[in-house]
Amino acid sequence: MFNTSAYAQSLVDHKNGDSHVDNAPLERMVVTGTRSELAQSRSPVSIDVISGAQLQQVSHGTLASALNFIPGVVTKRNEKDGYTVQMQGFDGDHVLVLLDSQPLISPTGSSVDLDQISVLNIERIEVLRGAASVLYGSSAMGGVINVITRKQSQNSGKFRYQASSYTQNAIDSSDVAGLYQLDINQNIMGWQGSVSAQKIDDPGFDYDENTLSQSAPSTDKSFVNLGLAKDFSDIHLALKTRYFSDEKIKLRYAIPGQAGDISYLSDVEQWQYDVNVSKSQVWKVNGRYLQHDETSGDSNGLRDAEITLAEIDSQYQWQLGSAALVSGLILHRDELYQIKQGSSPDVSGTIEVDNQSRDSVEGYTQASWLYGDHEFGAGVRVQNDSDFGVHSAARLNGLFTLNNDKNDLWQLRLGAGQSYRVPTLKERFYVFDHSNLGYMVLGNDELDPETALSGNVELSYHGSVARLFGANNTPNAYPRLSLRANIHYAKAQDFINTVTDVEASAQTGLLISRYENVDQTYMKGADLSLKLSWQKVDYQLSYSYLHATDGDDNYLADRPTHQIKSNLNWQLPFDINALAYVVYETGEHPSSTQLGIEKDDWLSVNVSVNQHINDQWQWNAGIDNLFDEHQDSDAFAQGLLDVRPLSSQRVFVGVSYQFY
Amino acid sequence: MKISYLVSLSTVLLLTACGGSSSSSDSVDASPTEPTTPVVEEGTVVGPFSTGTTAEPIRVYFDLDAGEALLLTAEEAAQNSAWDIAFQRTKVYLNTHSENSVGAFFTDVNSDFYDDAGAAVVDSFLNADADSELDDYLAISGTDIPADDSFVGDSEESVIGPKFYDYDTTTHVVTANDDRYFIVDSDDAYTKFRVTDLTSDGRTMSSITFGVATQNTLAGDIEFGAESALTINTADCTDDIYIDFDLGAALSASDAWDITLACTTVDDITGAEFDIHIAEDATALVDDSNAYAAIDSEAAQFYGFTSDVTQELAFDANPWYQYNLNGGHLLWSQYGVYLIKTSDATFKMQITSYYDDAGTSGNYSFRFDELISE
Repeated sequence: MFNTSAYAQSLVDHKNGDSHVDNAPLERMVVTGTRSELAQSRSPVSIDVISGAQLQQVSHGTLASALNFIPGVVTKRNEKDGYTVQMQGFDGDHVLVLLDSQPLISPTGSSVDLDQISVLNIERIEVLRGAASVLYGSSAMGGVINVITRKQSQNSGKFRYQASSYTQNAIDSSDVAGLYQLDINQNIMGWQGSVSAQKIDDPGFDYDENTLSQSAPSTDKSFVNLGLAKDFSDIHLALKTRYFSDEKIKLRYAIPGQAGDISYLSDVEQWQYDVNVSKSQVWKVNGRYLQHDETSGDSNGLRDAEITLAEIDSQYQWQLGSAALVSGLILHRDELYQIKQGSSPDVSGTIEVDNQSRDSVEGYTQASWLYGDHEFGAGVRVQNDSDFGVHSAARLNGLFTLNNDKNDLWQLRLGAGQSYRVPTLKERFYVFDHSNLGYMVLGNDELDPETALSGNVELSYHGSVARLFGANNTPNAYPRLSLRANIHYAKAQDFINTVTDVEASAQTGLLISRYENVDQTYMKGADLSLKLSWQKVDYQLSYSYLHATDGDDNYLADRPTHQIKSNLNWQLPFDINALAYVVYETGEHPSSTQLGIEKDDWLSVNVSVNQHINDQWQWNAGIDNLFDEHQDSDAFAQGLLDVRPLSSQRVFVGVSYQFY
Repeated sequence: MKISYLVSLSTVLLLTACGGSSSSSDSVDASPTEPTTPVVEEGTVVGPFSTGTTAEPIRVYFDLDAGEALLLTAEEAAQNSAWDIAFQRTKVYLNTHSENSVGAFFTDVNSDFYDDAGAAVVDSFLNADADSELDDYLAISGTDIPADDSFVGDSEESVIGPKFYDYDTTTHVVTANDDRYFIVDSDDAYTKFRVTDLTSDGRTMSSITFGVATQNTLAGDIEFGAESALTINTADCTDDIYIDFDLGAALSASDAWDITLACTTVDDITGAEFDIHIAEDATALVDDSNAYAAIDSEAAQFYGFTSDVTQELAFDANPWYQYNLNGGHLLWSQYGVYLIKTSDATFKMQITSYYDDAGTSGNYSFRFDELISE
């Protein structure tokens, strides 16, 4: 089922039963808006949910392309062939990606590479649009994507294989990408154990076989998750280990004057250890340690990076008079070491970030009050950081239930407050020495956090078409209807960018750029969404508008002004499910360095089907990017704006088998 | 004559064949093998020679006559006349030793790598390699050697130096060039000055008058103020003269001065030399047309301010490479052919690559051969 609304989802789940509207739909619980489990319709902050099953059908093993399915989310491929997301005009550095409400490693700036997160073991993804720094701290400025992993309680075993081809863009016509998944859950002596593994073997693709350079890299990814969980009375203990490795290679250039070639290489290995202890709806302590080792860059200039993240996140829910409170204390540490390799084993490398670290202690409290059918929330977060001292943020939220009939539900959500992003270790301590070519880029340890003031208003309706148009006593529950209109505004300041250091440039005769708190940005926009559900068909249409400018009223580049997403899900006979979804973006503005516009809009049409043959066997097939809309490499190389992504038509077919 | 550094394959094969035949007979050839002079084919590429990294650069000194790189420290190289050409990352240096003052001349081979507007023709650069550009190289012969005065060596130049006066070679009269302005960035202020008058006294100056306008950025000035006159009497100097424009006076060396003129006190000749320098921590530029009413400090590095003495490299006038033509931050040779005139001979030279076979930058490969004048 392919509505991103859990509300609609729950309706679909029950539509085979009594279809009368009074048969109230079951609601999915969400945690991201309040850090406590809450029915989705009661969350004072609007949360979208995409289920693990949905993810499996729209993804190819990682979150990279799957999030493109979610309304209002813009996915972008970065220069390291990774994927980030934009929300409400904020780029990937300002959208926080969490795994079970805790942060992940960000190999590039502050943005997590979505191609390094597998869809294995995912229960659901919760998407919070807008600022949430009070609950989640740094980077939660444009939104939060919270990946919630599954808490398995039943024994099960499943294997899945999917093959795919990039059709006419395949580097070799016989190239086939393989996706292998194994997922086993077993209760042993009271412990719920889980082992899941995934391997992605992707040959990459190339638009033009007559050029040396390759469009997308060949990749070899492996994911292994191990978990153990047990309940001791009302205390839940969970231990998790995640391993990830990723090797990429992509031909890029001929070596001038030599016979060899230069390739982009990336070799990543990541270990994650989680320890979670909790008492349901009362308290929890989550510990996480992440070690990320990476060698990447062009083959003639590789860099080694060692990134470490350690965090203890404790939370307590309590009552103070009529107010329900959730409070937390977080200890966080980041470490970074980066060196540019020497030209040979005999030549020492150049240290670019020299074993730097950052520690922070963060505390937050959010209180919520029920007032009739309405709910109000207020929260504050204080962070004491080893780099820049004390910083704080506060926010107010309100949920006004205008009509409390669950089958004709009108709600108004208001929110306003502060958010921030702390400077990364790279922004503070980077030394990028290209002085032989006349320039250097240097970090700045005097940076302050970026900050934003933002607000949003959302009006939503959940009910049916008949009820909306006044037929209050109709027994006709279908088509079910959900509407949502959201407007948002944010003023951000002290955004970190590189600027020329005049004094240092004059002294050295080089162009010295340094990270500084300089930029202001203004984001305003609107998201509109419509969902319709019949007995066998679900349809969703969404539109997002964005007006993003800098302090000089110039449009920000790399962001679509208009985005339309539409998806249709059809339940066919023989337990066949068909899905079609469309993404259309237009109105992106060129950057100051781009010389013109090749194409400023793009359309992606994606179709897939799946069928449950029986309890064990299931198959799926589909085509992504049906019309093979993709970037023109020549135009891009000429400095022209081409908003079409670096993507390829892709045909896929898969099968899965459930052992038990 | 260039000493060979590659042994010809034919010679090796010949020697091997001889050895084979001798072993097949029982006789022992007691006569020594005729010494073989290795033959180097014209256009043979040598290298790569590593010039280190940006952080730890190495200067490679090359002796074209000997056909080999010399291991020299910077101090040794300054006193050494054997090397002819040196490489350090993107820079190419020529020896300026008095006994081997090397000059370069750039032929117009591959001038079509640039269009009429002077822009690089990207495909020409990307499609060229050592093989494809060999014929252009081989085509250069002794007949292409220009007159000696066409060769340019490396030199040092003062940013101001003697540029403030005109010398009439007929009348031998020195006059102030009051159309030429200089802007000095010193002590948090920009000072624009020109020499409006000077009094010469033989080989020295007895007085010099400046027109001075100041833009004090610390005080919030956003443009130069009105010009005022400053006259310094240098007739009776006993030490070098240090002038501070802000105070409008000559100070001592330990003060915060802006420009200096050396004082000559030899025999009965006393006065300032016709040569102006700026402080070590200052930079300056020549404003020939009085174009700048203000300096935008945010963009100061783009005006072309330089330190007192700059090294003018002959190769910089005709760079051998283009940078970042296909987005890869790579240096692509134009495969231009340079004529290098040493104290003993004239060579042609073509830089074929800045990389080794793994793509490591700073590794020079080039071909060179001696030209015989015809």
